[in-house]
Amino acid sequence: MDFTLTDDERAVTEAASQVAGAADPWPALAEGGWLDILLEEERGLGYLGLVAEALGAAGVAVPLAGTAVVWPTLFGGSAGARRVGVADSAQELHLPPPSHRGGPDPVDGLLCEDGVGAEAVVVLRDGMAEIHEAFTAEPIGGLEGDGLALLRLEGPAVDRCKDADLVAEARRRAAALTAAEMAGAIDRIATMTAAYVTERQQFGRPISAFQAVAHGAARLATLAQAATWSARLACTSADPSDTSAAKGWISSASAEATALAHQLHGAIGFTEEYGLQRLSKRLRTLRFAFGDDRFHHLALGRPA
Amino acid sequence: MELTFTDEQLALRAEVAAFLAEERAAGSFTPRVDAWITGFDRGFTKKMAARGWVGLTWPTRYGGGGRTYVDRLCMTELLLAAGAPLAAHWFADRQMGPSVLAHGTEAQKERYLPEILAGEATYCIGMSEPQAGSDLAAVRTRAVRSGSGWLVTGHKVWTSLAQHSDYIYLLARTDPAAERHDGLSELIVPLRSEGVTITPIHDMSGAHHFNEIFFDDVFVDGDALIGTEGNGWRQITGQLGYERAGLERIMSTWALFEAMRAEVGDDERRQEELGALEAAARVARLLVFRAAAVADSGRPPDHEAAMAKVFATDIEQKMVEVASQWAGRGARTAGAFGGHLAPAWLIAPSFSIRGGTNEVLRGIVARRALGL
Ligand SMILES: Cc1cc2nc3c(=O)[nH]c(=O)nc-3n(C[C@H](O)[C@H](O)[C@H](O)COP(=O)(O)OP(=O)(O)OC[C@H]3O[C@@H](n4cnc5c(N)ncnc54)[C@H](O)[C@@H]3O)c2cc1C
Repeated sequence: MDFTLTDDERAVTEAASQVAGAADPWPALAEGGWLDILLEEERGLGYLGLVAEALGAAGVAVPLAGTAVVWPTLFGGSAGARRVGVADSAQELHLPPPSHRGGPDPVDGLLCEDGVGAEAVVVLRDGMAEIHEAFTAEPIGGLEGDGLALLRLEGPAVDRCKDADLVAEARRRAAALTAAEMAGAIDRIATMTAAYVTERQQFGRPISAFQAVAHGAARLATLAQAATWSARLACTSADPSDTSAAKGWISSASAEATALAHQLHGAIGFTEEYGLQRLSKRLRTLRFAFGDDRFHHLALGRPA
Repeated sequence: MELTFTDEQLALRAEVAAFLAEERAAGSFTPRVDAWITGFDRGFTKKMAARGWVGLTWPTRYGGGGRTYVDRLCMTELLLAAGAPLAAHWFADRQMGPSVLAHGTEAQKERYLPEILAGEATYCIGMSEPQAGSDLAAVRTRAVRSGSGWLVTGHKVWTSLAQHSDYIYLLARTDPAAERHDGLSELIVPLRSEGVTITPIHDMSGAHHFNEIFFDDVFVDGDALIGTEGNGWRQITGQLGYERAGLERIMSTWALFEAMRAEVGDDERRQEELGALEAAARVARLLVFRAAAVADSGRPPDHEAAMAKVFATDIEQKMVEVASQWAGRGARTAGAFGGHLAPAWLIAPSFSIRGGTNEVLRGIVARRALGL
């Protein structure tokens, strides 16, 4: 095992943080060739994971999973720079009956990731997938910035993939990529928090001088390291259990990380103006995208 | 020991329940999370005031109800459970009135209390400043004697409800030369005074709940100073006990909890999780009632209030987390749990910060309950 980034990986990380910092990262992602990297590079998902980390750290929401992962995995070609939403009927399966769930009834439509503003959608079903171009996507997210939509199809599929293995692989890659984006966001809130507790003075000293605060910052740093490496393993390994471990653990840890970061920031972190809340909201969105903690923990724990 | 309600308390609860049922039927409010601090409705407050439910614990000779703090909890428990809009009188009823009663002169009691009792005066809490959060004794806002009154200059922050309030109850420095805990005093400042500027701060839900307030040579008359000059720190400790000791610290999210109960279904794991939350909430409730009993014994609750608040807000935050887990992806939808989950999630981080952070409150328990 080697935990050092190669020169290529470092170059990806640098380029990605520039892209993530662009006013509109989507065209920058397209121009940089990142949306098609899966088709061109054997380690494409590993690179994309680093891109997702940078986007996560910046708190930027783009439909990377649909366009750069799910579509090329299933259909072997490029989606161009079209924004692709993903509706996965299987992810509802672990949920209790809709009447108990508080969410919309999936019979009426499908929950679609990045459905808001999508130009095409991929619908994942049992062992098959479809591309749709005629649909309506009604925003139903409870938090700003959440692209979740209630999808209603308005015509037949324009293309289909009936290879169950590819469908499973598309799901796995989307989850791995999402784990990487979350790792980037957790790493950023850990860094922000460590910096803030060093800067913020109370009782005549930096609050990091109080052990309760220092321990909190240390725990956050630990969560960030664990998230980063488990997501990197998921994005570079072909084993679906690595992905479930990463997405399950990171999803669950994201709640702890967010709570800790807010606690250590005090009231300032609770304001709209301060950057922390955008990252907490993004983490909450991603926690429940492409399989949440329970979904992936069940996938790992269920007897084979 | 008698850990159940008296007949008198049960009768009060029956009245409150009937009032709430009428108000609900008349559509006068919609239950929502955090309504005690965000539900601002002077009309509702006036209806409560007319029934004698504002200032319930205040002595009858000042127009109060002369009842106990435990009685007050019997009442507020039902109001909080209903998600009723209480913000127009909550702070004044909970802490400023008791502070004026404990430290004010007769003239001040006559001046300030009747308006609160009538549901006509809203107060906000002027403690925190940019450099004085957990370290409250670091406040820099100055009050300087000027003729018959005071000139106030400074900067408060995170002031909930200032945009709706008539008065701010201010902690200010009156003697910069004194040791920092000794140079502080409490003043009541009318917010419509010249020289007061209130600017909104938007919270992470985008709502305008709290504010920044600037005081630029604001003149207040001599009667504004409550209690003894230089004794503000000791006085405020009592006020903070009342601030922390209420059932709002476990019931901010009650509308969500009710929705969880309604949606628990047949899943045994969920039933167990709901039961664990309910068990912890009941224990928290006892700790809060115990703090009220301390207040009834004649001193403001202190470490009892700190203990209850940390314990209770932790459970409120867990409720939000458990509801999120149950809903899975549905947690992200605006309609989840009757529409209560998203707003509860957006305010949850503040539970363990507002009114004193968990770290600070644990310090109080360690020092003052255990002598550590
Ligand atoms: C929703 C909301 C409403 C509010 N309303 C009001 C209001 O109406 N009026 C008002 O005056 N204030 C109000 N506040 C402010 C509130 O009282 C402060 O936020 C709180 O006291 C903490 O101060 P701070 O935010 O500056 O955090 P800080 O004091 O900077 O704390 C940051 C972190 O450091 C920790 N820390 C600080 N000192 C220590 C220590 N000695 N040991 C261990 N840990 C420590 C804290 O626990 C926290 O985790 C409100 C806050 C919120 C969030």
